[in-house]
Amino acid sequence: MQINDAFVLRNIYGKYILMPVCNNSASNDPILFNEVAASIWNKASIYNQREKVLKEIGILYGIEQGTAEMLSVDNFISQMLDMGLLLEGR
Amino acid sequence: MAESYCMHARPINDFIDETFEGIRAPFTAGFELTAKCNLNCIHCYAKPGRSHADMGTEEFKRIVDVLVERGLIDAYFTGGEIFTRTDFEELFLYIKRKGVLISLLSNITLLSEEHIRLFKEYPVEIISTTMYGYTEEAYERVTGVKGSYAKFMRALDLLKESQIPFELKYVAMKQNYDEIYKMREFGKQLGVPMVIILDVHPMSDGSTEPMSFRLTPQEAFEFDVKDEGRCNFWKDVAKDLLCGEMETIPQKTAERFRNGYLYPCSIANQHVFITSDYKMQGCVRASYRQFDLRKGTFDEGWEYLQREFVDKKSSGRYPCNTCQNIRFCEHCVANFKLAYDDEEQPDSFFCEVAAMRKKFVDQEIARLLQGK
Repeated sequence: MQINDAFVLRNIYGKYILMPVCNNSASNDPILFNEVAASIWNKASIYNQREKVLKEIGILYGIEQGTAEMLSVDNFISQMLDMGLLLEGR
Repeated sequence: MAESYCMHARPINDFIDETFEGIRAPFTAGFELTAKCNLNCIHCYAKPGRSHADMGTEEFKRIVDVLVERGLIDAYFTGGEIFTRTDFEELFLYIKRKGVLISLLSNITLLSEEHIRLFKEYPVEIISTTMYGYTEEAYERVTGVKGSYAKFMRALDLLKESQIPFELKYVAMKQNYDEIYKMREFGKQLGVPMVIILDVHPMSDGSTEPMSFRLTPQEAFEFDVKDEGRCNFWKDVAKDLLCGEMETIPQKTAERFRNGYLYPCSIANQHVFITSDYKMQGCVRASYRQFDLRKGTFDEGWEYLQREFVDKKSSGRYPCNTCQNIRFCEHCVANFKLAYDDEEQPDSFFCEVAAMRKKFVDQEIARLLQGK
């Protein structure tokens, strides 16, 4: 898993905004992220395995593996993959 | 998770207002890359700066770094003519890769296939270009350069074929007024947004010569009601005012004026303009108060602009802050200063056009009330 490098994530006065840089099929408009989405993006820019990203998010927010909260985070990642903001494989 | 924000559905300023309410920061900026131009338009406001040396590549990158750190989201490049800069691509890519949206203001006569390839890979928000005349003769009467019309038309084809977003502007002047309706039709056929500009501004050094090319207020208003799009716009204003969906005086303007401020706009509040000789201004028009970035830091300049524009109060003699026609007026304090060396002396052109628009809207409201 990897971030779509057609974007850069910016933190502007506490708001996370994913800004498009290159032409891409996901979005050529800015996307407002919440904090969890921004954390997933940042972890995915370091780690290329989904499990590792999930583990890191769990540590960051104090969420146990296998809980409903962690399932939500996992769904979150799926949504980001579906949108093309995160990409499969490296 | 992610709230998609489409700037084409909502103006970027609305997004900034909603997301960063109450924060004073340079969220938007204009960069005059050069004052030099390959055309010589009779009405150009930027001519006086053509002799100075333009900001260097590294100077540009330095100020972009600071502005991005301070929150820059949306910027535009203007000139002079931006494509006369040999390092255009380097500047463009530098700011794009920082995650800033970019629009370009250009006469497009130097637009090349290489530029198109660049914009296909790194999209621009919009290229805004001015069509100075419908015919070759009228166009070149304004630009003063033989062969410029053919280059412009070729570039329009390039933009259209490559589906790069662009808009056409038309500065209506005495020299080309007879073509205004043909121009409107041309824009419609091309299927692109068309902005008709009905007033001509003073030059950046205060010379009022371009203002002599202006239409009369009556001619400007006549277009307002004869043009289908503009007429419908004012009819919608009448409906919104009648239904209470719109205030007679825009809320932000009313608040600024109520508190005694001179400038009702976002000048130096959420916007900054960087000139080609590396000075900071509150906006593109406000060339009379600049901060030299070669002599001080951005933060010093930003404070200076706050004092000179954001916090500046009007005197008791300023008529615009009590004017009931302000909704219909395109008044600009910076233009007053440039034209009359007095920020509080309104330009009667705007007053007259606004009064005629107000009368038209009042009549439309009366018509609606009578159920006609």
